[in-house]
Parts: sequence; C-alpha cells; structure tokens
Amino acid sequence: MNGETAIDEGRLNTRLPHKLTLISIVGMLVIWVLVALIAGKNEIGNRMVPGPIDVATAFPQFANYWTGDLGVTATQVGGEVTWQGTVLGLFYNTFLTLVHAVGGVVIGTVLGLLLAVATSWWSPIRQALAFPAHFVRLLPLLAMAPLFALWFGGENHTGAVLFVALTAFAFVFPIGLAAIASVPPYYEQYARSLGASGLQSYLRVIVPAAIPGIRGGVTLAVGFGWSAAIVAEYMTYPYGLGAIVKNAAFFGSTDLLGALALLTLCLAATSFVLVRSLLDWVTRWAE
Amino acid sequence: MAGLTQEAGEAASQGRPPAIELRNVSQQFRLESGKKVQALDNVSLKVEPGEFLCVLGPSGHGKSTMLNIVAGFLQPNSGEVLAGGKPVTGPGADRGVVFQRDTVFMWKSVADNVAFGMKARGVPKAEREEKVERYLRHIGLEQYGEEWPKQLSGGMRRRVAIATVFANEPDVLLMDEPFVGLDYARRSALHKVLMDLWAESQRSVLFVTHDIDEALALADRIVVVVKGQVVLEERLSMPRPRGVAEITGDEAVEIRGRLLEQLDPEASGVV
Repeated sequence: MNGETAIDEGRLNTRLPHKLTLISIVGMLVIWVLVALIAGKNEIGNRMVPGPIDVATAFPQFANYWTGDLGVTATQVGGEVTWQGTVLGLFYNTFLTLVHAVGGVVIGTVLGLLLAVATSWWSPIRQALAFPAHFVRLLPLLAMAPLFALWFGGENHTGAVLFVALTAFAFVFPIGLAAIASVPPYYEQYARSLGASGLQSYLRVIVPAAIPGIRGGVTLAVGFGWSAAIVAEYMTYPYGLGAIVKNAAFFGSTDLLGALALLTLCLAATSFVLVRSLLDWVTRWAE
Repeated sequence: MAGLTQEAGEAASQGRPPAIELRNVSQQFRLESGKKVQALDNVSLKVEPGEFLCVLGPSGHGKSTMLNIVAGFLQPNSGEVLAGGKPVTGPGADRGVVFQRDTVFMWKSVADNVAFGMKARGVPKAEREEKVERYLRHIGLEQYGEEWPKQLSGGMRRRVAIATVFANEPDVLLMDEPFVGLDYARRSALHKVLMDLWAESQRSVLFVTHDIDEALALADRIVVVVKGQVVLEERLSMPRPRGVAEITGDEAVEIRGRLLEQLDPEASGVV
C-alpha cells in the first residue's frame, strides 16, 4: 500500500450545539408571543397574529371539515365537535393535500428529469431549450392556479395534481438541464476512450455525474410542492388544507390559519427530511 | 521487471506498423482576443509497438494538444494521425487515456470502475471479474473493490484509473501528466505500478510530462516539444527498474544536460 491509507470522509457536523438550538427555539417562541400580544385583535375577537395557545386550541375546528361517517357525524348536519371528528377532519384533509402534493411532485419531478435527460442528449436541442427552460422558471405559477380549475374543473384531483406537477417541473427541468450541461467534458472523453458508445457515455456517465447537481431542484420542488398544493386547493378544490385556509380567511379565523401554517410547516419539514435522506442515499457515493 | 527496452520494443515491432504515427501534424487555436496560437507545428513522430515514449516540454507548448489529437478528442488542422496503421477519426478503445484530472467515476465502486470499459465493449462477465480481480491485485487495492472512490486517497484513485485503462487492454496508453501534484513517495510508488503493468502487458505508452526525472525514470525514448515542435529526441539505454542510482548516473546526467539546454528559457526562448 506504500503507506497510503483509505480515507473515510465523514461529513463535518455543522449542527449548532444543542443548547444554542434550544435557546433559539425559546427565543422564537417568546418573540411570537410578544408579537401576538402587540398586534391586537380583529373585529370578531381573534388575535391578528395568533399566539401559540390560540394555535393549539384551534385544532378542534378541524372537526368542521370532516365529511361524516366512520361513526362520526359531520358538524354541518348537526354533529358535535368531538376529538374523533377533529382527528378525522385533520387526517382527511391532510391526506387530500398529501395526495395532491406528493402526486404532483412525483409527476413533475419525473417528467422534468426525463425531459432534461432526453433533451440534453443532443447539444443543439439543449441550447435551443436553454431559453424556454428559463422561461418556465419565471412563470408566475401561483397566478396560473385558477387556469387549472378552468381547464380540469374544481371537483376532481386532476387540476390540483397537475398544478403541483407544473410547479415541480418548473424547478426540476431547468436545474436538470443545467446540471447535465455542467458535467465536465473529460468524463465523456474518458468513457469514449474506454470504448463506450455515445449513448453509453451519456446514460452511464454524464447522467449519473449530474445527479448531485439535480438534487437541489428536487429538494426545492418538494418544498414548494406543499405550498402549490395548498394554493391549488384554495383556488380550485373544495377539500384539503387549502380549502380550509380559504374558509378560515373568509371567517377571519386567524387561530385556524395559524394551526394550518404550523401543520403545513410540520408536513413540509417531514417530507424535506425524508426526501433529503432518500437523496443522500442516492448520492451516497458523492464527496 | 522484465526490462523491456527500446531494442525489445523494436524487435516486437518487426513487421508491424507503428503503434502511433503523427505525419506533419499542425494545430492552431484562436483565442478570444482573435490572436492565433500555433500549438503544434508540423510534428512528425512515431511510437513503436511496446515502446514507452515520454513527451517532455514546458507547460503550454503543445504536449497535451498532441495527446488529445492522438486520443481523437481533437482533429488536427493539417496532417495525419495513424494508430496501428489506421487513421484516427475519434476516440477509441484501442487508445486508452489516463488524464491529469481525476476521472474515476465516483458513482461506481472501484471494481465497477475497472470493469467499465470491458462492460461497455461487451466482455463476458466471468472474464471481466477475473481481470478486475487481477488488476486490483496488481495495484494493491484488492480489498477495496467494493468501496466508493471517495473512500480512497488521491494516489489510490490514480492507481484505479491506471488499472481501468490497462484492464481494457488498449494497444496504446496515452498518459497526460497522470501523476502531477503527487509527492515524491507516491509518485515513485505509482511509477513502479505503471512499470510493472507495462512490462507485463508490453503495450505502447505515450506519456506526457514536464518532469525530467519522471521521463528519465520511465522512458525508452524522450522527445522534447517546445513551441509546438519536436526539438530533441533522446534514446535511453539505462537498465530497469530505474531508481535514484540510475536517474543520477552518468548517462542520466548527460541526457539531463541536453534536455535542460532545450528547456532553458534563455537558450531556447521558452516562455
């Protein structure tokens, strides 16, 4: 071995020490409470900025968004607000949003990656698509949500899923193109000098080499997928967390809006951690 | 060490075309400013079968351009390049390249890297596995076959790149300053690995370097390229393996003197 040793390159631990993390969380809670107290209340007595207790006590309102059955009657037809109704309302609407978010992100990401890989194969096409790719990134996506309701109707999942898919695509496709374009040319030269054909070099060398550059686009797509799903439901769909946001805003229920924000934050953070773990595994070979 | 010398190389080459032949090759580049740079100027050169040829010269004087043209990565403005008597029209498995840069595929295990060329060319799995094992043993990395390249040091990755190219059994190896940036000990270790593989395979090597000691340690023949032209050719008859005693001996000192004369900025106008 001539004195050479294998180097197991562990990642540097960049996390803040636990104590500092705890202090920052407590600090944020204190600021949140202070802002809630200072901001005052609206005409119907809800705080303009809901405090932590307002948010916690708003969760039973999810019972109002349970459509009934499984032994729990919907409140719209005379049922009581119960913890079972709260749990069912919470899970039912979260599940719908999850379907829209995950379905859309998966479709948009897969399509974005496939199209980026397919169109990067031939450099003239890649160059020709450089401007449209930037154009997709600049699309006013949120303003386009109502179009999906018009195109696909507001009572089915199609419009919401496809809107989220467009959002994910808008992140993944241009970043995929850029990642493939930035693979150093000597990788392909090396592969060709080893006897690989053009297609083999592309699929076995250039595309894998681009994966670490693509992971940022996928992570962004997941993060924005939740927001896009809520926007789609807000504008097009009668159920899901986005539909609850619409009702809560209509009735000035700032506490419920706060609860929805907290719930969405938890969902997005969980999905982010899961996707990052998956991407860490996929790129476990990268330095 | 088998001690494959220039004489042995010439014997092996009897009746065979040169492994590589450059005929009046010129290459010009146009810079962003519009200025033209003559990277190669009417270069003619042969690499005989089994020969280890070192191309020595200052940085930016056409060595790598020559190698890229032989590899088929560049088409010369004029002249002709032949590999085994056939015109070079592009990259090919008959001319394996070891780059100055780290080209090991990070997403493939060490063993899969070594097997890459063979797999691309459709070599049967059993034969691939046998060769991978053999070449990993040659380079002293047999216990690292299943590891990712990121777990290896820089020197170990260079060995993987060399094993990958040798395992693919090209007719000619083209090496573009493959050991640049390594310390003396690692470089010497890699020289030994390279010499062992070369002696066993008896393939031709075109080795680009700017390091005189490296050229003296490895070459059957050294050509000096300055300003895109071959300005000196030296044949070496020193025995192998060449250690400190050989590359500081009388023959080496004489050759070194002549090489330095060509590379001296004041004498040759090198910049």
